[in-house]
Amino acid sequence: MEWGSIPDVTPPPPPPPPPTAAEPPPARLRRPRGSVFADRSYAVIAGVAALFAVVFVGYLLWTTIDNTGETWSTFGIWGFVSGTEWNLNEALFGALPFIYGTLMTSIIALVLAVPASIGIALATVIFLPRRLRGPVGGLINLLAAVPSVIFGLWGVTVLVPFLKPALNWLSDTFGWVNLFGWRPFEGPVTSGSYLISGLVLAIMILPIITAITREVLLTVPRDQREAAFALGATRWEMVRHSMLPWARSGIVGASALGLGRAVGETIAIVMLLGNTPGIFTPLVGPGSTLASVIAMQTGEASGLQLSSLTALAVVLFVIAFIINAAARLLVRRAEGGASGGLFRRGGSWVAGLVRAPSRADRGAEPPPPPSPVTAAPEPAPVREPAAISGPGAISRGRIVRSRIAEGFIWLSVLFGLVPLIAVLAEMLMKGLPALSVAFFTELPPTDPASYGGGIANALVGTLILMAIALVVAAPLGVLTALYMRDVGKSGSLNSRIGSVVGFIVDILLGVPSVVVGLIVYLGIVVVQGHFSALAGGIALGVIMFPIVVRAADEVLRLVPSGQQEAALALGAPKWRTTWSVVLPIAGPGILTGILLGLARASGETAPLLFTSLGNQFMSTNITEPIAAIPQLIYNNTIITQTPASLQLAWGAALVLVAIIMFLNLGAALLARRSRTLEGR
Amino acid sequence: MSTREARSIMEDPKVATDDSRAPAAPPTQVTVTAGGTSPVPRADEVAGPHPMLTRDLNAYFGSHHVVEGVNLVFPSNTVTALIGPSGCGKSTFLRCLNRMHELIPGARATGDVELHGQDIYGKDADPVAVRRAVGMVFQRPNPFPTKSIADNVLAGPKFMRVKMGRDGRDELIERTLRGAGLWDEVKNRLDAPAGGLSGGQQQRLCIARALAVEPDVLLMDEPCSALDPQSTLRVEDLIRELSERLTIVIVTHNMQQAARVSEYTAFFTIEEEGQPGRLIETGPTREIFGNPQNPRTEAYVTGRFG
Repeated sequence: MEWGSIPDVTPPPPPPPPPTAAEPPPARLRRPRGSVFADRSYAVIAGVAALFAVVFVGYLLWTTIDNTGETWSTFGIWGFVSGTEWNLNEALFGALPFIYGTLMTSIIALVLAVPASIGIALATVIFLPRRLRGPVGGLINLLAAVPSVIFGLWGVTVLVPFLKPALNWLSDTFGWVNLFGWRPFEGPVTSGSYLISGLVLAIMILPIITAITREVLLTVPRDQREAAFALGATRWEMVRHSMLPWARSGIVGASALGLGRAVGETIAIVMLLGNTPGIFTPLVGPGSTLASVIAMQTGEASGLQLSSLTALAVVLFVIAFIINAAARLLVRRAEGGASGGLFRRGGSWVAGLVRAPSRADRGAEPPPPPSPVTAAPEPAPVREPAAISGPGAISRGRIVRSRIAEGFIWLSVLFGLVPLIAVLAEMLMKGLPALSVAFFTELPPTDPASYGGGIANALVGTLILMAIALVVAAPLGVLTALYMRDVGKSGSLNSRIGSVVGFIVDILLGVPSVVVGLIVYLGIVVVQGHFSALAGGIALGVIMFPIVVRAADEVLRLVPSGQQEAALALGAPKWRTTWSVVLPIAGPGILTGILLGLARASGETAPLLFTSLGNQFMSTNITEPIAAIPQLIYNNTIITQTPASLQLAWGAALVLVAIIMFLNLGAALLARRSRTLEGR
Repeated sequence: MSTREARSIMEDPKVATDDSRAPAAPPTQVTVTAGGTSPVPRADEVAGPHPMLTRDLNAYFGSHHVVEGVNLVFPSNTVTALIGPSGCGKSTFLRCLNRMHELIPGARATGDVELHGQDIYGKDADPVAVRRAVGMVFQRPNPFPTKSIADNVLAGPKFMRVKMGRDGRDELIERTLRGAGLWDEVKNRLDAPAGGLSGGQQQRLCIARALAVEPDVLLMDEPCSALDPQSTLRVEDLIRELSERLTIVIVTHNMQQAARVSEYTAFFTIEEEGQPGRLIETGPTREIFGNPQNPRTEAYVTGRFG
């Protein structure tokens, strides 16, 4: 293997000519064998790690596809996808009710979340006072840290009772609406409903859409904004004509990423949608989605049913893949175009500097005498000077329009902040009373109606699962990223393999977590014959892996190439450069990625349902089923659902959010540190 | 106003003062006489209407004082060039003239800028309306890349919600594009996106876009620095042409350009890093380049400094 800047590597050097006193020893141009070996080892280790990850994922996928065969042969692909029945007794399995459920919940979520996200992003980019922009953006990001299961808990205990009268009114007032036979608001109103599920989904996908939209809006070059302002545009008009058109494809991409998230969302839907499959059923009534039915039935399914559930997972995966691929393409194009713009601007800025002291300007000889401006000035054309103040300066319509737009933006901010505050307040009010020393040391009470007890088993379980995920995902993820970014010279075989690996990582990033759970179930639990903490940890690791790779890859890309070249030019071998120059610079960023991945994995519920299964008792054996906090919250909310169990659930929610906040805080601090390093 | 600047103005025998409360844009030539409480140094030989003047204008970025005490008059239908070394505050000063400066976080300006006798920093002056009256062309061409050529021209009137029939629109597009010397090159592809034009064409489109809102004053911030020599010449021709109808203020680093396009020149400089930029000397361009009164101006225009 050849390294860019070191000219003397792989091809075994010709035997040195016999040294003579006059010549400098040619050995100086050779590298110690050990050094060459170390370089090769580094490349091989990174490559093997990347390939291992890919092969392992490939194995899981193959087991999955293999398992769907029975479904395809029984119903045919089209027959399955268009099948309207899901009936265990008659062994009839069709995907359409779940596709309808998935699309409906996602569309409702999107319709609510996209305008609100754009509003919030605009508020945090220009409309809010400068001091509030950061905090409001941070609060919205906090929403992303609240795990799905806690939104489910909040939805079941707070939102559904609160909104049910509104749904009843909706049903009473608009129940007659009939769109080609579909009556969206026809009663009876049930606890599980599309509308409330969609609303909660909207709140959940709000942060990601907002964050990306914000990023894209921030790439709108200043000169584009100024172009509009210089023409006399109000703030809203500037946004409308200058920023939004520039950011449009990025916003579409962000929305699509949000859609991808909504399509794969599982546990909150399980808790809020009622799990009753149906096609063209009313929006105030229950339904079921691809993800939720997989979560509900996989653990107890076998034979054709398991095969059909796996086929549903494939359908879900395909939908999510298409959405995510389109989204990434759009976002990349938007940000790429913008960064191209930045580059161009940088170029011309440099040109301006170069031009300023050009020879013509600084030449020793004085500049040529200015050409006399002979044109006799004509009398100035008489024109009313434009009003710059008073009522006529800006038309009333423009002011009103701008005010309305700004009003909508404030409403969006409320739409994001109110649920966040409601969830956090509820959690503190209900959760704090549950906390005590016993809460961390005791097991949950065996009698669901009795108060007291603790979540010791779930806490230990979550920590063990996170540790397994960390051990699985972090080293593999970092090595994979190094392989993709650092090992291969561009155009070499390594870099081409690297880009394939990158593609697979991108796919993994979009796989819904419940599908990961199912895949691990089929590939490990079914093969081993029993549920285990190991399987659960691996499932979380598979979720975490692509997050780590992408984060590490991003930071590695930002390491200034000058720094590496400086080390290489000093004669440092490749691995040494990576170890002493690249990793110290990228280290905090990589750690940030690991912590964020861990935070994400720790809140997951769906993939644990049929991998680590859950455990009533304390267990530290990784080959046995194990409890986890998110799962405890789910069970206590949905299955037990007594006042006592709900109190325990809120307490557990508080602990879970504390863990996630702690990880996120660590990530944020590291990120800040790496940024200051960059600044230096 | 700093003493140094005061002195530099005293040293210039030709500097006259002006009663700034002069009637707004009088239709006929007025000889402005000395007097008033706030002496405004101005280019000599100005004996005519002037749509815009500044009085003791200061600009800041946060606590950093970047432009100090500038008094300057821009005579009607002329081109005034602002020259000076990098970082002397001339671009900042320019951006103060249509309140673009304050868009930068932490930036603010004090002093008066009068447009037809109204203070654009006055209590009830609206920055949006000010920018409509004082147009601006930027260093880098910045057409709206996704909008068509025609829509770029119409962007300003659209903000203003000017009601226009199809004919009115077409007429405006043709008139301003002709005004910007771009009509013949783009008349067959008015619906093409503006991003497809060359850099020079884009800059002339930006000029057309600024003209379409019919500003009283047009500010140009190094409008040619991102253009090739050919395009630069075209834009310079255009600037001279426009000055028959418009008052133009142009910042340029290129002294030959200042000499080619402007009637009046104002020279800015800074003492040293961290000091605010000050106006050192103003006068007819030919005087500034041929017979500068201030030794610093002379040093700069002859290339011994800056």
